[in-house]
Amino acid sequence: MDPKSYFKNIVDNVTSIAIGMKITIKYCFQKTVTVQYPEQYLKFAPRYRGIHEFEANRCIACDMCAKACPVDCIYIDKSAPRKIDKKTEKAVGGELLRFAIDYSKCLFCALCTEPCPTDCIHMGKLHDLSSYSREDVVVEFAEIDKQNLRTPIPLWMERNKEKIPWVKGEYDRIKAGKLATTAADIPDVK
Amino acid sequence: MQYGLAPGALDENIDVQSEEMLVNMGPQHPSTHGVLRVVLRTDGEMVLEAVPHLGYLHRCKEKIAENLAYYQYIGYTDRLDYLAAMNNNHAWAMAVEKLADIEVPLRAEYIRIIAVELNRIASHLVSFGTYGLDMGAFTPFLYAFREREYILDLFEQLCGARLTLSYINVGGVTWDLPPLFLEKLTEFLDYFEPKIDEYNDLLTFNHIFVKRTANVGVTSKEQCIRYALSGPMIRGSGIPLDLRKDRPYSIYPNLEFDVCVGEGLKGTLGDCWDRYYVKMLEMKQCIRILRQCIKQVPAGPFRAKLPRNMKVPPGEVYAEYENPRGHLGFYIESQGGAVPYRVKIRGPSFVNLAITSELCRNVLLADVPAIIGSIDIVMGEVDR
Ligand code: SF4
Ligand code: SF4
Repeated sequence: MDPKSYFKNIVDNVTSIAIGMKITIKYCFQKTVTVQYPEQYLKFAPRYRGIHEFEANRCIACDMCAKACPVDCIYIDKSAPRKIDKKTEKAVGGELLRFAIDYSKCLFCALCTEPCPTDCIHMGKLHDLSSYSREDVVVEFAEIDKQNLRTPIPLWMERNKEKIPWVKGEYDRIKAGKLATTAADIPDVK
Repeated sequence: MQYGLAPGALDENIDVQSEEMLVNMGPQHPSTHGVLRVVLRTDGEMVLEAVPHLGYLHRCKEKIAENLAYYQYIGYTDRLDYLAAMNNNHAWAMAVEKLADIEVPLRAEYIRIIAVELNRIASHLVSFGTYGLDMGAFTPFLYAFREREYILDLFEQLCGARLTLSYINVGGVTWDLPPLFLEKLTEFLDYFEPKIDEYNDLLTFNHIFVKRTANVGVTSKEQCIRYALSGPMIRGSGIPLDLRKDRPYSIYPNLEFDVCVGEGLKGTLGDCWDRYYVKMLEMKQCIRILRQCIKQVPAGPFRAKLPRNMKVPPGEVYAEYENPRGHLGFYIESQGGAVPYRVKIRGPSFVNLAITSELCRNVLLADVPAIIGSIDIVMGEVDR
Protein backbone atom coordinates (compact mmCIF):
# COMPACT_ATOMS: atom_id res chain seq x y z
CA MET A 1 0.00 0.00 0.00
CA ASP A 2 1.46 3.36 -0.94
CA PRO A 3 1.98 5.87 1.89
CA LYS A 4 -0.55 8.34 0.53
CA SER A 5 -3.50 5.98 0.69
CA TYR A 6 -2.20 4.60 3.97
CA PHE A 7 -2.45 7.99 5.65
CA LYS A 8 -5.72 8.78 3.90
CA ASN A 9 -7.09 5.59 5.38
CA ILE A 10 -6.11 6.69 8.87
CA VAL A 11 -7.60 10.15 8.40
CA ASP A 12 -10.85 8.68 7.07
CA ASN A 13 -11.06 6.34 10.03
CA VAL A 14 -10.52 9.05 12.57
CA THR A 15 -13.06 11.37 10.92
CA SER A 16 -15.78 8.73 10.79
CA ILE A 17 -15.16 7.80 14.42
CA ALA A 18 -15.37 11.48 15.35
CA ILE A 19 -18.69 11.82 13.49
CA GLY A 20 -20.02 8.79 15.30
CA MET A 21 -18.82 10.09 18.66
CA LYS A 22 -20.49 13.43 18.05
CA ILE A 23 -23.85 11.71 17.59
CA THR A 24 -23.40 9.47 20.60
CA ILE A 25 -22.29 12.28 22.89
CA LYS A 26 -25.37 14.26 21.94
CA TYR A 27 -27.47 11.43 23.35
CA CYS A 28 -25.45 11.31 26.57
CA PHE A 29 -27.25 14.39 27.80
CA GLN A 30 -30.76 13.49 26.70
CA LYS A 31 -33.59 11.89 28.56
CA THR A 32 -33.41 8.11 28.63
CA VAL A 33 -36.05 6.28 26.65
CA THR A 34 -36.04 3.13 28.78
CA VAL A 35 -37.91 2.61 32.03
CA GLN A 36 -36.80 0.67 35.08
CA TYR A 37 -39.19 -2.25 35.02
CA PRO A 38 -40.63 -3.51 37.40
CA GLU A 39 -40.64 -0.40 39.59
CA GLN A 40 -41.85 1.67 36.67
CA TYR A 41 -43.97 0.33 33.88
CA LEU A 42 -45.39 1.41 30.57
CA LYS A 43 -49.10 1.81 30.05
CA PHE A 44 -50.81 -0.60 27.74
CA ALA A 45 -52.78 0.62 24.78
CA PRO A 46 -56.55 0.23 25.21
CA ARG A 47 -56.65 -2.51 22.61
CA TYR A 48 -53.83 -4.52 24.14
CA ARG A 49 -54.35 -8.24 23.64
CA GLY A 50 -53.31 -10.01 26.83
CA ILE A 51 -54.66 -12.91 28.85
CA HIS A 52 -58.43 -13.13 28.50
CA GLU A 53 -61.01 -11.73 30.84
CA PHE A 54 -64.11 -13.85 31.01
CA GLU A 55 -67.52 -13.14 32.48
CA ALA A 56 -68.89 -16.57 33.32
CA ASN A 57 -72.28 -15.29 34.43
CA ARG A 58 -73.05 -14.13 30.90
CA CYS A 59 -71.58 -17.04 28.95
CA ILE A 60 -74.17 -19.27 27.32
CA ALA A 61 -71.61 -21.96 26.47
CA CYS A 62 -72.45 -21.80 22.80
CA ASP A 63 -69.00 -22.95 21.64
CA MET A 64 -68.70 -20.14 19.11
CA CYS A 65 -65.38 -18.96 20.55
CA ALA A 66 -63.96 -22.48 20.67
CA LYS A 67 -64.87 -22.99 17.01
CA ALA A 68 -63.27 -19.72 15.95
CA CYS A 69 -60.02 -20.49 17.74
CA PRO A 70 -57.35 -21.59 15.25
CA VAL A 71 -55.47 -23.74 17.77
CA ASP A 72 -58.47 -25.25 19.62
CA CYS A 73 -57.29 -24.14 23.01
CA ILE A 74 -60.67 -23.30 24.55
CA TYR A 75 -62.40 -26.17 26.39
CA ILE A 76 -66.07 -25.74 27.29
CA ASP A 77 -68.39 -28.08 29.15
CA LYS A 78 -71.94 -27.53 30.36
CA SER A 79 -74.59 -29.63 32.09
CA ALA A 80 -77.57 -28.33 30.10
CA PRO A 81 -78.29 -25.55 27.57
CA ARG A 82 -77.87 -22.05 28.89
CA LYS A 83 -79.50 -18.90 27.66
CA ILE A 84 -79.57 -15.23 28.49
CA ASP A 85 -82.32 -14.06 30.82
CA LYS A 86 -83.61 -10.85 29.25
CA LYS A 87 -84.34 -9.13 32.59
CA THR A 88 -81.10 -9.65 34.49
CA GLU A 89 -78.86 -10.10 31.41
CA LYS A 90 -77.36 -13.13 33.14
CA ALA A 91 -77.09 -16.60 31.67
CA VAL A 92 -79.52 -19.10 33.14
CA GLY A 93 -80.19 -22.79 32.60
CA GLY A 94 -77.57 -25.51 32.97
CA GLU A 95 -74.34 -25.07 34.81
CA LEU A 96 -71.10 -24.02 33.11
CA LEU A 97 -68.96 -26.95 34.23
CA ARG A 98 -65.74 -25.97 32.56
CA PHE A 99 -64.36 -23.05 30.64
CA ALA A 100 -60.63 -23.37 30.27
CA ILE A 101 -58.06 -21.78 27.99
CA ASP A 102 -54.72 -23.43 27.46
CA TYR A 103 -52.18 -20.61 27.37
CA SER A 104 -49.38 -22.85 26.21
CA LYS A 105 -51.24 -22.94 22.89
CA CYS A 106 -53.00 -19.59 22.68
CA LEU A 107 -51.84 -17.21 19.93
CA PHE A 108 -53.48 -14.08 21.40
CA CYS A 109 -55.12 -13.48 18.06
CA ALA A 110 -58.46 -12.22 19.49
CA LEU A 111 -60.46 -14.32 17.02
CA CYS A 112 -62.43 -15.79 19.93
CA THR A 113 -63.75 -12.41 21.05
CA GLU A 114 -65.35 -11.60 17.71
CA PRO A 115 -68.15 -14.17 17.40
CA CYS A 116 -69.29 -14.20 21.06
CA PRO A 117 -73.05 -13.45 21.02
CA THR A 118 -73.12 -12.13 24.59
CA ASP A 119 -69.79 -10.32 24.43
CA CYS A 120 -68.48 -11.97 27.57
CA ILE A 121 -64.92 -12.87 26.55
CA HIS A 122 -62.40 -10.06 26.18
CA MET A 123 -58.68 -9.65 25.76
CA GLY A 124 -57.27 -8.37 29.07
CA LYS A 125 -54.16 -6.50 30.07
CA LEU A 126 -52.13 -9.26 31.72
CA HIS A 127 -49.13 -10.28 29.68
CA ASP A 128 -47.31 -12.69 31.92
CA LEU A 129 -48.53 -15.96 33.35
CA SER A 130 -45.35 -17.75 34.31
CA SER A 131 -45.81 -20.85 36.41
CA TYR A 132 -43.90 -23.84 37.63
CA SER A 133 -45.68 -26.51 35.66
CA ARG A 134 -47.30 -26.92 32.33
CA GLU A 135 -50.67 -27.69 33.91
CA ASP A 136 -50.71 -24.33 35.65
CA VAL A 137 -50.92 -22.40 32.39
CA VAL A 138 -54.29 -23.98 31.64
CA VAL A 139 -56.58 -21.45 33.24
CA GLU A 140 -59.93 -22.75 34.51
CA PHE A 141 -62.06 -19.67 34.11
CA ALA A 142 -65.21 -21.34 35.49
CA GLU A 143 -63.28 -22.19 38.67
CA ILE A 144 -61.76 -18.78 39.25
CA ASP A 145 -65.14 -17.18 38.64
CA LYS A 146 -66.26 -18.78 41.91
CA GLN A 147 -63.70 -16.54 43.63
CA ASN A 148 -65.14 -13.58 41.73
CA LEU A 149 -62.10 -13.25 39.46
CA ARG A 150 -62.39 -12.40 35.77
CA THR A 151 -58.80 -13.23 34.99
CA PRO A 152 -56.15 -15.30 36.84
CA ILE A 153 -53.78 -13.76 39.37
CA PRO A 154 -50.26 -14.68 38.35
CA LEU A 155 -47.52 -15.61 40.81
CA TRP A 156 -45.46 -12.48 40.28
CA MET A 157 -48.42 -10.31 41.16
CA GLU A 158 -49.14 -12.27 44.31
CA ARG A 159 -45.55 -11.93 45.43
CA ASN A 160 -44.83 -8.31 44.58
CA LYS A 161 -48.09 -6.64 45.48
CA GLU A 162 -46.76 -5.31 48.79
CA LYS A 163 -43.52 -4.04 47.30
CA ILE A 164 -44.53 -2.24 44.14
CA PRO A 165 -47.45 0.22 44.08
CA TRP A 166 -48.63 -0.34 40.52
CA VAL A 167 -48.72 -4.10 41.04
CA LYS A 168 -50.90 -3.53 44.09
CA GLY A 169 -53.24 -1.44 41.98
CA GLU A 170 -53.57 -4.16 39.36
CA TYR A 171 -54.00 -6.80 42.05
CA ASP A 172 -56.82 -4.88 43.69
CA ARG A 173 -58.55 -4.41 40.36
CA ILE A 174 -58.46 -8.12 39.56
CA LYS A 175 -59.53 -9.05 43.13
CA ALA A 176 -62.53 -6.77 42.81
CA GLY A 177 -63.49 -8.57 39.61
CA LYS A 178 -63.27 -5.45 37.46
CA LEU A 179 -62.46 -5.62 33.77
CA ALA A 180 -59.45 -3.82 32.35
CA THR A 181 -61.08 -3.54 28.97
CA THR A 182 -64.40 -1.93 28.36
CA ALA A 183 -66.57 -2.25 25.30
CA ALA A 184 -65.52 1.24 24.22
CA ASP A 185 -61.88 0.18 23.97
CA ILE A 186 -62.54 -2.64 21.57
CA PRO A 187 -64.93 -1.39 18.91
CA ASP A 188 -67.58 -3.68 17.58
CA VAL A 189 -66.40 -5.74 14.63
CA LYS A 190 -69.51 -7.66 13.71
CA MET B 1 -22.77 -32.35 -2.27
CA GLN B 2 -20.07 -33.80 -0.13
CA TYR B 3 -19.71 -32.45 3.37
CA GLY B 4 -16.52 -34.21 4.33
CA LEU B 5 -13.06 -32.83 3.68
CA ALA B 6 -12.45 -32.85 -0.01
CA PRO B 7 -9.33 -34.91 -0.62
CA GLY B 8 -6.50 -32.83 -2.01
CA ALA B 9 -8.73 -29.85 -2.69
CA LEU B 10 -5.98 -27.33 -3.14
CA ASP B 11 -6.78 -23.91 -4.41
CA GLU B 12 -4.25 -22.27 -6.68
CA ASN B 13 -5.38 -18.76 -5.79
CA ILE B 14 -4.21 -19.04 -2.23
CA ASP B 15 -0.47 -18.92 -1.76
CA VAL B 16 -0.23 -20.47 1.69
CA GLN B 17 -1.87 -23.86 2.04
CA SER B 18 -2.62 -25.36 5.38
CA GLU B 19 -4.84 -28.16 6.51
CA GLU B 20 -8.51 -27.86 5.66
CA MET B 21 -10.97 -27.66 8.46
CA LEU B 22 -14.73 -27.94 8.70
CA VAL B 23 -16.31 -25.21 10.81
CA ASN B 24 -19.92 -25.18 11.92
CA MET B 25 -21.27 -21.67 11.97
CA GLY B 26 -24.61 -21.79 13.74
CA PRO B 27 -27.30 -22.81 14.51
CA GLN B 28 -26.48 -20.82 17.64
CA HIS B 29 -24.08 -18.32 16.08
CA PRO B 30 -25.24 -14.74 16.76
CA SER B 31 -24.66 -13.54 13.22
CA THR B 32 -26.66 -16.25 11.48
CA HIS B 33 -29.89 -14.46 12.45
CA GLY B 34 -31.80 -17.31 13.93
CA VAL B 35 -31.22 -20.97 13.60
CA LEU B 36 -29.30 -21.18 10.34
CA ARG B 37 -26.37 -23.55 10.26
CA VAL B 38 -23.64 -22.94 7.74
CA VAL B 39 -20.95 -25.55 7.27
CA LEU B 40 -17.75 -23.87 6.19
CA ARG B 41 -14.80 -25.64 4.63
CA THR B 42 -11.93 -23.43 5.60
CA ASP B 43 -8.26 -23.27 4.81
CA GLY B 44 -6.77 -20.99 7.40
CA GLU B 45 -8.68 -17.75 7.09
CA MET B 46 -10.10 -18.58 3.67
CA VAL B 47 -13.51 -20.11 3.21
CA LEU B 48 -13.44 -22.52 0.31
CA GLU B 49 -17.02 -23.60 0.51
CA ALA B 50 -20.11 -22.76 2.52
CA VAL B 51 -23.20 -24.94 2.69
CA PRO B 52 -26.29 -23.59 4.49
CA HIS B 53 -28.37 -26.14 6.36
CA LEU B 54 -32.00 -25.42 7.08
CA GLY B 55 -34.87 -26.97 8.92
CA TYR B 56 -34.26 -26.08 12.54
CA LEU B 57 -37.41 -24.00 12.69
CA HIS B 58 -39.74 -26.07 10.55
CA ARG B 59 -43.32 -25.90 11.84
CA CYS B 60 -45.38 -27.35 8.97
CA LYS B 61 -47.02 -24.04 8.12
CA GLU B 62 -48.25 -25.21 4.75
CA LYS B 63 -49.82 -28.37 6.13
CA ILE B 64 -51.49 -26.49 8.99
CA ALA B 65 -53.23 -24.26 6.44
CA GLU B 66 -55.08 -27.28 5.08
CA ASN B 67 -57.01 -27.64 8.34
CA LEU B 68 -57.92 -24.04 9.02
CA ALA B 69 -60.54 -21.70 7.68
CA TYR B 70 -59.11 -18.86 5.62
CA TYR B 71 -59.55 -16.19 8.28
CA GLN B 72 -58.00 -18.41 10.96
CA TYR B 73 -54.72 -18.79 9.13
CA ILE B 74 -53.87 -15.11 9.63
CA GLY B 75 -52.37 -15.86 13.03
CA TYR B 76 -49.99 -18.31 11.42
CA THR B 77 -48.85 -15.95 8.69
CA ASP B 78 -47.62 -13.62 11.44
CA ARG B 79 -45.08 -16.20 12.36
CA LEU B 80 -43.62 -16.68 8.91
CA ASP B 81 -41.57 -13.52 8.61
CA TYR B 82 -42.03 -12.38 12.17
CA LEU B 83 -40.38 -9.03 11.54
CA ALA B 84 -42.94 -8.13 8.92
CA ALA B 85 -46.16 -9.66 10.19
CA MET B 86 -48.38 -7.02 8.59
CA ASN B 87 -46.96 -7.70 5.18
CA ASN B 88 -47.60 -11.41 5.53
CA ASN B 89 -51.15 -10.81 6.72
CA HIS B 90 -51.72 -8.56 3.76
CA ALA B 91 -50.31 -11.05 1.28
CA TRP B 92 -52.50 -13.85 2.61
CA ALA B 93 -55.59 -11.65 2.70
CA MET B 94 -54.91 -10.56 -0.87
CA ALA B 95 -54.56 -14.14 -2.05
CA VAL B 96 -57.85 -15.18 -0.45
CA GLU B 97 -59.61 -12.09 -1.76
CA LYS B 98 -58.41 -12.85 -5.25
CA LEU B 99 -59.61 -16.42 -4.93
CA ALA B 100 -63.03 -15.62 -3.49
CA ASP B 101 -63.49 -12.40 -5.46
CA ILE B 102 -63.99 -10.14 -2.46
CA GLU B 103 -64.19 -6.40 -2.82
CA VAL B 104 -62.23 -4.55 -0.14
CA PRO B 105 -63.48 -1.10 0.95
CA LEU B 106 -61.20 1.77 -0.01
CA ARG B 107 -60.63 2.88 3.56
CA ALA B 108 -59.46 -0.62 4.43
CA GLU B 109 -56.96 -0.49 1.57
CA TYR B 110 -55.52 2.76 2.88
CA ILE B 111 -55.30 1.48 6.45
CA ARG B 112 -53.57 -1.60 5.11
CA ILE B 113 -50.98 0.37 3.22
CA ILE B 114 -50.32 2.54 6.28
CA ALA B 115 -49.83 -0.60 8.36
CA VAL B 116 -47.61 -2.45 5.90
CA GLU B 117 -45.39 0.52 5.10
CA LEU B 118 -44.88 1.15 8.81
CA ASN B 119 -43.93 -2.47 9.17
CA ARG B 120 -41.56 -2.20 6.24
CA ILE B 121 -39.75 0.58 8.11
CA ALA B 122 -39.68 -1.52 11.29
CA SER B 123 -38.32 -4.49 9.41
CA HIS B 124 -35.62 -2.46 7.65
CA LEU B 125 -34.67 -0.95 11.00
CA VAL B 126 -34.02 -4.38 12.45
CA SER B 127 -32.09 -5.34 9.37
CA PHE B 128 -30.00 -2.16 9.61
CA GLY B 129 -29.40 -2.55 13.33
CA THR B 130 -28.43 -6.19 13.27
CA TYR B 131 -26.23 -5.69 10.24
CA GLY B 132 -24.29 -3.10 12.21
CA LEU B 133 -24.10 -5.62 15.02
CA ASP B 134 -22.66 -8.23 12.68
CA MET B 135 -20.04 -5.73 11.56
CA GLY B 136 -19.06 -4.97 15.13
CA ALA B 137 -20.97 -1.72 15.61
CA PHE B 138 -23.21 -1.99 18.64
CA THR B 139 -24.60 1.55 18.93
CA PRO B 140 -26.68 1.68 15.72
CA PHE B 141 -28.49 -1.41 16.89
CA LEU B 142 -29.76 0.37 19.99
CA TYR B 143 -30.79 3.39 17.97
CA ALA B 144 -32.64 1.25 15.48
CA PHE B 145 -34.52 -0.55 18.21
CA ARG B 146 -35.41 2.70 19.92
CA GLU B 147 -37.15 3.91 16.77
CA ARG B 148 -38.69 0.52 16.11
CA GLU B 149 -40.19 0.66 19.57
CA TYR B 150 -42.18 3.75 18.55
CA ILE B 151 -43.55 1.87 15.58
CA LEU B 152 -44.48 -1.07 17.79
CA ASP B 153 -46.27 1.34 20.12
CA LEU B 154 -48.28 2.55 17.14
CA PHE B 155 -49.09 -1.05 16.28
CA GLU B 156 -50.16 -1.68 19.85
CA GLN B 157 -52.64 1.15 19.59
CA LEU B 158 -53.78 -0.10 16.22
CA CYS B 159 -54.31 -3.75 17.02
CA GLY B 160 -53.17 -4.57 20.53
CA ALA B 161 -50.09 -6.60 19.67
CA ARG B 162 -46.52 -5.66 19.02
CA LEU B 163 -45.03 -8.51 17.04
CA THR B 164 -47.62 -11.09 16.05
CA LEU B 165 -50.08 -8.56 14.79
CA SER B 166 -52.93 -10.48 13.07
CA TYR B 167 -54.40 -7.16 12.05
CA ILE B 168 -55.10 -7.33 8.34
CA ASN B 169 -57.72 -9.95 7.70
CA VAL B 170 -59.70 -11.25 4.76
CA GLY B 171 -62.03 -8.50 3.57
CA GLY B 172 -60.34 -5.57 5.27
CA VAL B 173 -58.76 -4.91 8.64
CA THR B 174 -59.95 -6.16 12.02
CA TRP B 175 -60.31 -2.80 13.76
CA ASP B 176 -60.71 0.72 12.53
CA LEU B 177 -57.98 3.30 13.14
CA PRO B 178 -58.04 4.35 16.78
CA PRO B 179 -58.75 8.02 17.55
CA LEU B 180 -55.80 10.36 16.93
CA PHE B 181 -53.81 7.62 15.23
CA LEU B 182 -53.02 9.63 12.11
CA GLU B 183 -51.83 12.56 14.23
CA LYS B 184 -49.52 10.29 16.18
CA LEU B 185 -48.27 8.77 12.95
CA THR B 186 -47.47 12.21 11.52
CA GLU B 187 -45.64 13.05 14.73
CA PHE B 188 -43.62 9.88 14.44
CA LEU B 189 -42.73 10.52 10.80
CA ASP B 190 -41.54 14.04 11.63
CA TYR B 191 -39.41 12.60 14.38
CA PHE B 192 -38.12 9.71 12.33
CA GLU B 193 -37.18 11.38 9.06
CA PRO B 194 -34.05 13.19 10.33
CA LYS B 195 -33.00 10.03 12.16
CA ILE B 196 -32.27 8.29 8.87
CA ASP B 197 -29.59 10.85 8.07
CA GLU B 198 -28.19 10.27 11.52
CA TYR B 199 -27.95 6.54 10.83
CA ASN B 200 -26.21 7.31 7.58
CA ASP B 201 -23.61 9.39 9.41
CA LEU B 202 -23.28 6.84 12.14
CA LEU B 203 -23.00 3.65 10.13
CA THR B 204 -23.60 3.88 6.39
CA PHE B 205 -20.68 6.19 5.56
CA ASN B 206 -18.52 5.06 8.44
CA HIS B 207 -15.15 4.25 6.96
CA ILE B 208 -14.68 0.99 8.83
CA PHE B 209 -18.14 -0.21 7.88
CA VAL B 210 -17.57 0.68 4.23
CA LYS B 211 -14.26 -1.19 4.26
CA ARG B 212 -15.97 -4.26 5.66
CA THR B 213 -18.88 -4.31 3.21
CA ALA B 214 -17.86 -2.64 -0.07
CA ASN B 215 -16.61 -5.02 -2.76
CA VAL B 216 -17.67 -7.98 -0.62
CA GLY B 217 -20.22 -10.51 -1.81
CA VAL B 218 -20.69 -8.99 -5.23
CA THR B 219 -23.80 -10.30 -6.99
CA SER B 220 -23.92 -9.66 -10.70
CA LYS B 221 -27.16 -8.92 -12.51
CA GLU B 222 -26.93 -12.22 -14.30
CA GLN B 223 -26.52 -14.11 -11.01
CA CYS B 224 -29.52 -12.30 -9.55
CA ILE B 225 -31.73 -13.46 -12.37
CA ARG B 226 -30.30 -16.97 -12.35
CA TYR B 227 -31.08 -17.35 -8.66
CA ALA B 228 -34.48 -15.57 -8.91
CA LEU B 229 -33.52 -13.13 -6.18
CA SER B 230 -35.91 -10.41 -5.16
CA GLY B 231 -36.29 -7.47 -2.86
CA PRO B 232 -33.25 -5.44 -1.76
CA MET B 233 -31.02 -8.29 -3.02
CA ILE B 234 -31.91 -7.72 -6.66
CA ARG B 235 -32.35 -3.95 -6.35
CA GLY B 236 -28.92 -3.74 -4.78
CA SER B 237 -27.53 -5.14 -8.01
CA GLY B 238 -29.14 -2.38 -10.01
CA ILE B 239 -32.26 -4.11 -11.32
CA PRO B 240 -35.32 -2.02 -10.43
CA LEU B 241 -37.66 -4.92 -9.71
CA ASP B 242 -40.38 -3.93 -7.30
CA LEU B 243 -43.82 -5.50 -7.51
CA ARG B 244 -45.38 -2.39 -6.04
CA LYS B 245 -44.43 -0.65 -9.30
CA ASP B 246 -44.18 -3.48 -11.80
CA ARG B 247 -47.39 -5.34 -11.01
CA PRO B 248 -49.14 -2.90 -8.71
CA TYR B 249 -51.70 -4.19 -6.26
CA SER B 250 -53.96 -2.53 -3.71
CA ILE B 251 -53.74 1.28 -3.98
CA TYR B 252 -50.11 1.53 -5.01
CA PRO B 253 -50.99 2.95 -8.46
CA ASN B 254 -52.38 6.02 -6.65
CA LEU B 255 -49.20 6.62 -4.70
CA GLU B 256 -45.99 8.23 -5.77
CA PHE B 257 -42.68 6.70 -4.84
CA ASP B 258 -39.38 5.73 -6.41
CA VAL B 259 -37.83 2.32 -6.68
CA CYS B 260 -34.38 2.55 -5.10
CA VAL B 261 -31.54 0.68 -6.75
CA GLY B 262 -27.90 0.22 -5.89
CA GLU B 263 -25.39 2.27 -7.85
CA GLY B 264 -22.09 0.88 -6.71
CA LEU B 265 -21.41 4.06 -4.79
CA LYS B 266 -18.64 2.73 -2.58
CA GLY B 267 -17.35 -0.17 -4.60
CA THR B 268 -18.67 -2.62 -7.12
CA LEU B 269 -22.32 -2.66 -8.14
CA GLY B 270 -24.16 -5.33 -6.19
CA ASP B 271 -21.90 -5.62 -3.18
CA CYS B 272 -23.03 -5.90 0.44
CA TRP B 273 -22.90 -2.15 0.92
CA ASP B 274 -25.26 -1.55 -2.01
CA ARG B 275 -27.76 -4.05 -0.68
CA TYR B 276 -27.61 -2.38 2.68
CA TYR B 277 -27.93 1.13 1.28
CA VAL B 278 -31.01 0.25 -0.76
CA LYS B 279 -32.82 -0.45 2.51
CA MET B 280 -31.83 2.91 3.94
CA LEU B 281 -33.15 4.63 0.81
CA GLU B 282 -36.34 2.59 0.92
CA MET B 283 -37.15 3.81 4.40
CA LYS B 284 -37.33 7.34 3.00
CA GLN B 285 -39.71 6.16 0.29
CA CYS B 286 -41.87 4.48 2.94
CA ILE B 287 -42.15 7.80 4.72
CA ARG B 288 -43.18 9.41 1.45
CA ILE B 289 -45.89 6.79 0.90
CA LEU B 290 -47.13 7.14 4.47
CA ARG B 291 -47.43 10.91 4.20
CA GLN B 292 -49.53 10.54 1.04
CA CYS B 293 -51.73 7.92 2.68
CA ILE B 294 -52.35 10.14 5.71
CA LYS B 295 -53.60 12.88 3.41
CA GLN B 296 -55.76 10.62 1.27
CA VAL B 297 -57.34 8.15 3.67
CA PRO B 298 -61.12 8.30 3.02
CA ALA B 299 -64.03 7.69 5.38
CA GLY B 300 -66.12 4.57 5.06
CA PRO B 301 -66.28 0.99 6.23
CA PHE B 302 -63.05 -0.75 7.19
CA ARG B 303 -64.15 -4.29 6.53
CA ALA B 304 -66.24 -5.97 3.88
CA LYS B 305 -69.30 -7.83 5.14
CA LEU B 306 -68.47 -11.51 4.94
CA PRO B 307 -70.32 -14.52 6.29
CA ARG B 308 -68.59 -16.16 9.22
CA ASN B 309 -68.34 -19.56 7.54
CA MET B 310 -67.14 -18.18 4.26
CA LYS B 311 -67.25 -20.71 1.45
CA VAL B 312 -64.68 -20.23 -1.26
CA PRO B 313 -65.35 -21.40 -4.82
CA PRO B 314 -63.07 -24.07 -6.27
CA GLY B 315 -60.08 -22.76 -8.13
CA GLU B 316 -56.48 -21.85 -7.72
CA VAL B 317 -54.69 -18.59 -7.25
CA TYR B 318 -51.19 -17.25 -6.91
CA ALA B 319 -50.81 -13.85 -5.26
CA GLU B 320 -47.49 -12.05 -5.35
CA TYR B 321 -46.50 -9.50 -2.82
CA GLU B 322 -43.53 -7.22 -2.21
CA ASN B 323 -42.40 -8.06 1.29
CA PRO B 324 -39.51 -6.09 2.86
CA ARG B 325 -37.28 -9.00 1.86
CA GLY B 326 -38.60 -9.67 -1.61
CA HIS B 327 -41.40 -11.47 -3.37
CA LEU B 328 -43.70 -13.27 -1.05
CA GLY B 329 -46.13 -15.52 -2.86
CA PHE B 330 -49.10 -17.51 -1.65
CA TYR B 331 -50.42 -20.23 -3.90
CA ILE B 332 -53.80 -21.52 -2.80
CA GLU B 333 -55.72 -24.34 -4.33
CA SER B 334 -59.32 -24.61 -3.23
CA GLN B 335 -61.76 -27.40 -3.95
CA GLY B 336 -64.63 -25.40 -2.54
CA GLY B 337 -65.61 -25.32 1.11
CA ALA B 338 -64.22 -23.48 4.07
CA VAL B 339 -60.62 -24.72 4.09
CA PRO B 340 -57.93 -24.67 1.38
CA TYR B 341 -56.91 -27.89 -0.29
CA ARG B 342 -53.26 -26.95 -0.60
CA VAL B 343 -51.21 -23.90 0.24
CA LYS B 344 -47.73 -23.21 -1.03
CA ILE B 345 -45.65 -20.35 0.23
CA ARG B 346 -42.86 -18.75 -1.74
CA GLY B 347 -40.67 -17.18 0.90
CA PRO B 348 -38.28 -14.46 -0.25
CA SER B 349 -35.65 -15.27 2.38
CA PHE B 350 -35.65 -18.91 1.36
CA VAL B 351 -35.01 -18.12 -2.28
CA ASN B 352 -32.45 -15.43 -1.50
CA LEU B 353 -30.55 -17.76 0.79
CA ALA B 354 -29.79 -20.08 -2.11
CA ILE B 355 -27.02 -17.82 -3.34
CA THR B 356 -25.02 -18.10 -0.09
CA SER B 357 -22.84 -20.96 -1.30
CA GLU B 358 -21.90 -19.10 -4.43
CA LEU B 359 -21.13 -15.81 -2.67
CA CYS B 360 -19.18 -17.42 0.17
CA ARG B 361 -16.63 -19.10 -2.06
CA ASN B 362 -13.01 -18.09 -1.60
CA VAL B 363 -13.76 -15.26 0.78
CA LEU B 364 -12.26 -14.48 4.15
CA LEU B 365 -13.93 -15.99 7.19
CA ALA B 366 -14.79 -12.51 8.50
CA ASP B 367 -16.68 -11.75 5.28
CA VAL B 368 -19.12 -14.59 5.78
CA PRO B 369 -21.20 -12.74 8.43
CA ALA B 370 -21.12 -9.67 6.17
CA ILE B 371 -22.54 -11.66 3.27
CA ILE B 372 -25.14 -13.60 5.25
CA GLY B 373 -26.20 -10.43 7.06
CA SER B 374 -26.67 -8.56 3.80
CA ILE B 375 -28.89 -11.31 2.42
CA ASP B 376 -31.12 -10.43 5.38
CA ILE B 377 -32.89 -13.68 6.07
CA VAL B 378 -35.55 -14.41 8.65
CA MET B 379 -35.43 -18.05 9.60
CA GLY B 380 -39.13 -18.23 10.42
CA GLU B 381 -39.79 -17.79 6.76
CA VAL B 382 -36.96 -19.89 5.40
CA ASP B 383 -38.07 -23.00 7.27
CA ARG B 384 -41.77 -22.21 7.55
S1 SF4 C 1 -68.79 -17.46 22.42
FE1 SF4 C 1 -69.15 -16.30 24.30
S2 SF4 C 1 -71.08 -17.13 25.10
FE2 SF4 C 1 -70.35 -18.59 23.57
S3 SF4 C 1 -69.14 -20.08 24.77
FE3 SF4 C 1 -67.70 -18.52 24.04
S4 SF4 C 1 -67.60 -17.05 25.70
FE4 SF4 C 1 -69.42 -18.28 26.07
S1 SF4 D 1 -56.80 -15.50 21.40
FE1 SF4 D 1 -56.83 -16.79 19.57
S2 SF4 D 1 -55.65 -18.60 20.13
FE2 SF4 D 1 -56.17 -17.56 22.04
S3 SF4 D 1 -58.04 -18.53 22.75
FE3 SF4 D 1 -58.65 -16.75 21.53
S4 SF4 D 1 -58.92 -17.55 19.46
FE4 SF4 D 1 -57.76 -19.08 20.60
